[in-house]
Amino acid sequence: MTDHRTPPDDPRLGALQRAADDLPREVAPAADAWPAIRARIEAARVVPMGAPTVPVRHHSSNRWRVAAAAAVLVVGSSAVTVLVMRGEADAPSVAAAPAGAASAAASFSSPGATPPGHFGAARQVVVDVSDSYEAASADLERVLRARRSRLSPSTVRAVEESLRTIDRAIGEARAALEQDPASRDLMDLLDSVYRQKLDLLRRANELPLRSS
Amino acid sequence: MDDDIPRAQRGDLDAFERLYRAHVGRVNALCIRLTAGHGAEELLQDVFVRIWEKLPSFRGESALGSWMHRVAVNVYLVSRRSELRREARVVTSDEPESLGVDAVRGYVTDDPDARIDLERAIARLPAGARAAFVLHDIEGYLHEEIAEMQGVATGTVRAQLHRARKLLIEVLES
Repeated sequence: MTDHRTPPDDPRLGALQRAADDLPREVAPAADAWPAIRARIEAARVVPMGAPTVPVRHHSSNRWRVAAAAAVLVVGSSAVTVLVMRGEADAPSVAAAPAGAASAAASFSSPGATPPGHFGAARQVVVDVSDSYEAASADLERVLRARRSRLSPSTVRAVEESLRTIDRAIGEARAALEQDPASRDLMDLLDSVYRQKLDLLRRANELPLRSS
Repeated sequence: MDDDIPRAQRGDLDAFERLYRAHVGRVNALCIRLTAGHGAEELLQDVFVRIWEKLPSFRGESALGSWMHRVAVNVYLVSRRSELRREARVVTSDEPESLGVDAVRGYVTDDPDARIDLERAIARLPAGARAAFVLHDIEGYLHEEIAEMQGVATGTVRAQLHRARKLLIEVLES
């Protein structure tokens, strides 16, 4: 990356180039992005490539916890899909759905061995990660709303059904994390579902519009 | 600060935070200009998560700031590659009114607001033209470097840059 530009013959180009040169090279973010970045790194357990890694102990209880939570997510999401297909608008609330996940997580966790304050910090990570993803989703959902009227009705239905399913899964994962905030496996699930939502929204916003 | 690079490479998040704070302004300026402000905060997060992932591969052959900058450009271009390629194939209207005439009025004056106007005009450029202008005319990348990062022909980058400059000048003169 070097400054290789030659002075243009066209004075208008020269003026444009000078104006571009005068633009500030640094702009402070409107809000401190570091907490969200740190939360994402910690939540995803993003270990720098090549860095020495600490061996992870895979207790059988962890595998059970993931399996239980994943099963709840699948069952819950499928249930929502069925409800949507039946046209039932008054589906059970998200908060009430994950009782199975909560009991499954509780039965496999051992809070007595958790250091004091550990759960509080873990809950804050969940909040930070969720806030970060929700903000990103909100931006994409605004774009989708603006485009909605120019998408085909069948496309809109498909996208909205998928979003409802994903939102239900997010609610269930968060509820399970409420019961077991230190579970990295559940955190990975939440992260994965949020990523699915962002991916769906991004793809939906790239769909071709109907000509008006 | 020099110690922070090897510390962060070994997984020290506090050291990485200090690197973030030292460089966030420049990376953020790039994110805002490339995205025209739409999704800039998300891109900024994606960039620093990616920088964290790739940091152990940094060998100090260039300044850390320049290396971070290139990672940021790559994250943006990869996320928008399909959109940029599509735009390169389907050239839309070059009508200056589509940019908003008022957007760049006064950009060659000493008026401090002029810089903001130019920023707004750049933000209204089509994505491919905007990327070419920001990376070449503001950040100083070569046509060939932009083409390689974007996965398009060098001629496409030249065309996008020409288009960006033409649009900005036409708006100015209207």
